[in-house]
Amino acid sequence: MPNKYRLATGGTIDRKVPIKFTFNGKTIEGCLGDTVASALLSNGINTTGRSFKYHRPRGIVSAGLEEAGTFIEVMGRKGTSAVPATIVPIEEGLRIKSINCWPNPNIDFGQVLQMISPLIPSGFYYKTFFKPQWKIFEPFIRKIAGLADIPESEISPTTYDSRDAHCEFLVIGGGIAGLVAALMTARTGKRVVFVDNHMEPFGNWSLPVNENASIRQWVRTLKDELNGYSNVRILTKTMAWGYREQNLVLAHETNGIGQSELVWRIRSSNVIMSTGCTERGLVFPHNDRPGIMLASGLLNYCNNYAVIPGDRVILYTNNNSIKVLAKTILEKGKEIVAIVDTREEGLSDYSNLPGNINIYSGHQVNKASGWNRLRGVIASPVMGGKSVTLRCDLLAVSGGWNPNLQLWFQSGGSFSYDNELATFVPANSVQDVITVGSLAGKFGFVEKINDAVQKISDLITTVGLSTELLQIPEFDIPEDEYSINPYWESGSGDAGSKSFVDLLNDVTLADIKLALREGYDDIELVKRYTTLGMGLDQGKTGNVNASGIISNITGKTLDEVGLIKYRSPVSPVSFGVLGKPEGDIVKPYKTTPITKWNRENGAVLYEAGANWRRPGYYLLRNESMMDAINRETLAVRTGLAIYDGSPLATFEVKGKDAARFLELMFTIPIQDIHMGMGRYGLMLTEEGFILDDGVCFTMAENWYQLSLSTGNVDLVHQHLEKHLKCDFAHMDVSLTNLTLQWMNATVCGPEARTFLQEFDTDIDLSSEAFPFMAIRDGEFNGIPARIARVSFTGELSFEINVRPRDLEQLWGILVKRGNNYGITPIGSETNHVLRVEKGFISLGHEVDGKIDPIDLGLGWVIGKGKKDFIGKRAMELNRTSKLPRKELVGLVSRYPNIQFAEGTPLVASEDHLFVEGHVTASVWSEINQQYVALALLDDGRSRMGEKVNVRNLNGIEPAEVAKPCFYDPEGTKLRS
Amino acid sequence: MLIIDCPFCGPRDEREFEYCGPYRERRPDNMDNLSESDFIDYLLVPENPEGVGQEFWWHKRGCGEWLLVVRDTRTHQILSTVEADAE
Repeated sequence: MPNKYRLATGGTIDRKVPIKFTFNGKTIEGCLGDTVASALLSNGINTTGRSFKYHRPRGIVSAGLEEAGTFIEVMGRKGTSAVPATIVPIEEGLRIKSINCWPNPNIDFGQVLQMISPLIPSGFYYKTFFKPQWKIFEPFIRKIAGLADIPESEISPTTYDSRDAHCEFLVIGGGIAGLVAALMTARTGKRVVFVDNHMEPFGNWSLPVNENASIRQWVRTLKDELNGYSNVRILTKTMAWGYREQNLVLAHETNGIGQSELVWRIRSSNVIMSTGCTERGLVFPHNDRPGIMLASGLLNYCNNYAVIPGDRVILYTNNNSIKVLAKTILEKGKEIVAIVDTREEGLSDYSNLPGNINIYSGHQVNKASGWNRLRGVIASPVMGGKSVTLRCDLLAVSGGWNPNLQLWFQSGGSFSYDNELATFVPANSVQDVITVGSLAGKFGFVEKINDAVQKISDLITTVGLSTELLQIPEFDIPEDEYSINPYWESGSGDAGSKSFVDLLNDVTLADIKLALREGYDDIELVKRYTTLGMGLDQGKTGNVNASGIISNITGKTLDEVGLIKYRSPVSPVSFGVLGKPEGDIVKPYKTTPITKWNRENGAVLYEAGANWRRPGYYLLRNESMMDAINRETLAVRTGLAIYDGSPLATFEVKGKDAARFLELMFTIPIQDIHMGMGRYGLMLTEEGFILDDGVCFTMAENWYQLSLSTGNVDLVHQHLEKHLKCDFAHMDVSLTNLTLQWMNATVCGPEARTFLQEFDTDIDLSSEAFPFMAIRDGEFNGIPARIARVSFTGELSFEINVRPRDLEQLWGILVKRGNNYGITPIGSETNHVLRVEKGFISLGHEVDGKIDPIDLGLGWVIGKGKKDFIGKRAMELNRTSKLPRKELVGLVSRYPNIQFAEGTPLVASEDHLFVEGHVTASVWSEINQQYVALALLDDGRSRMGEKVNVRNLNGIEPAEVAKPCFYDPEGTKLRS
Repeated sequence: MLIIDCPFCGPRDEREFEYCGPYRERRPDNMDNLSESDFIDYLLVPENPEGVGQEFWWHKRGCGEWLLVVRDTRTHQILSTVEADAE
């Protein structure tokens, strides 16, 4: 019978709208407004999962985020892993699976672990499965461990985003204190953000105060007024999960499984926390049996979902808050078998309850019985005496109430133990934050309101504002003084009966005792040794009990024991919402002005350094990538090609001291570079390693232009800036990054000059007037241009730099007129092949942050007479070591078709796998008709002609060490 | 995430800035005849205090200025923010 445990009336669910979903393959019917948990409970499904370590049957223990019993996996396209069953609203067709059990929660293979549980105490895995046994046990352990599978769908349909908000007042938590705080701050006219994780603030109608008509009416007027303020932003279904420095609060807004998710970064001058409190459980043997739940959870299921999932109810408590539940259950017409209260004075609290209930005051529960379903409890007097066996199928427990200190902890605030309340309450704040309501230890309804009114008035006055006083009507509700007698554990201590302190992580009383016995006497160490308070629920219901138990055992006071530090996030937040936010907005891809042309002409575009999305190669019809690259390289070597070199880093350095500054930044002499000429140089880090390479041109007196690598532009910019501002601030130098101001078309190949001379230009392109490394300003075909004769391909090459707005026109003309020459556009892959053939170095390949100029055979780039430049001293110091240096060499195989893959290690011999280097780049050289490679090899330069061993995937491959240049070693073509 | 009070732009979000390492002394002018131990001190021994320390921050996506930020690494409290080369 569907919904067997659903009450005939009451609740906020809509019985007229049935919703079907599947749970472990079985169809379940609930109704609109149900969560997975309430739907399962209403159908009498008790065993809803298995525990993490011992695979004991578990049920649902709460009705909210504090859930420690049942975690589910949502399957399908909107799949998500390991969420509490208590917070997932049901939808038609939703597929749900319980976690930690196979094949299902009722017949679980891992149950065998329960039988051997005495053999697997805390630390068992650490103590037992270290090598070499780990390999044997690993597959089994992996199968039974873990919390959920990876979702089936590769790409989640969920949309993720992030937003920033700034305000003067942030109110976290929409209980009555939060609502009062939000309204009072709203009246100041300042910006207020009000965050609540429910459907609406003060929307939890399970609270008995909501049945009071005058309170309902008053709350309605507060909400109506609040909704009218334009300076207030109300974020519902939003959980504040992180509290960072300078009052930055992170909150997660979601519309449910698979819907859009948003992360809010809220920066507020003042934070008002009213995160409320959570009930904790009681620790006794087998306190995890399905059918045992928190009293607050049961109250919520009664009032919101009209479910009481049992016929014979027992209440077990150490405080008087359970009275409300008792009254509610009786009103709904269910039977309460007994109330077990550890307090002697408890009796009087229940005198007003109707009917004939057995009250066991001064009693504790010694043990629960049953396996897949609770069958009963054994209770006995706390002071000792005859025990009594009570049959029941539902046990509601209340171990007292804990303020939700999670965010308070994260804000840096301290806390102290309150004897009256038997729990930890906030003490001193570190940031600009205050606590109100039950979070601050004020548990009575009117008490909370008065607390909020008082503290918010003070706050508003303190920050120099004023507000209209909030009128609080007289409410006709009984305000009972909260009475609790802390009771941290009960029952026999025999090994077979487990008393769980942390349900989620299967941490028992015995585990805590073991940890203390083994010397882990700090609560943080107990946490690490036993996994207490870790995981999805972060110990929301168990941690205070753990502190109490440790205090009992060690004799320390609770203030000395303290509380396990709550960490961020308060509750799990999806990776999607954490990973996505920045994305394309903060770091967008850059494209050059001819991207449209590239797309129309077969370019395969992808990221190639510094967020530039540019052509790797251009595909003609029926071509493979390899065909295209070969065709393009041959065009450069034998004909005419054109390359979009716009992303090259360009800096302008001007000022009286520009040369002096650059002398310090580069390895090369700068002062003697002739006007209109450039010089190849290296830039080192102060640690003596290569940071970048490039060309420094002298444009005019005190005016230099740097043309550097694409990939490192941000790092180099920072490097130059840092030295300029922090070391050489006294110099008269201005540095400007012109990377995006100069776009270029690089015309290269043996026919480049002949071709360019066809155009109308005032720049003399002849080899006499325009030698290698020269730079000239002028007009090219009517376009203002700066042409440089530099080459990264080893061929005759003219880099025609123009304003971004002119590149498309320039490119169009060059391509059109170049048709006669068979002009070929080339991409960055081709450029890579050409530079490897020439042995030109590249960042990330040969330059790996641990390499100096001499290693790469670039000793000639270091100015001999230079007394100082950044990195000189460290480089010299590094070189005093006699250890072998990794030096740049070429590698070739006897067989042209053998490729040594990039990154492959070079080893000493087949038997000795000592690594003496690695392949840094490897390409098919079409002009040489063979694979060629560059490598860094220990003392490589003195080993020319030697054989080395390349450890390819399928074995050792011999290679010959060669000069790192496979084309035009004299550079005659380059300079032609 | 910090709010850094740029002396030129006012309080701005950390995402506009780049952290550029702990403060260190100005680079010595006489690098070529500095003693080895002095050089190593300069190169490899920057201060790394638990507590109040000085750091370089670059307001790269803002005014472009270099700032010297005094920050407590335990609390992230920023005690002062001045121009890096204001001497």
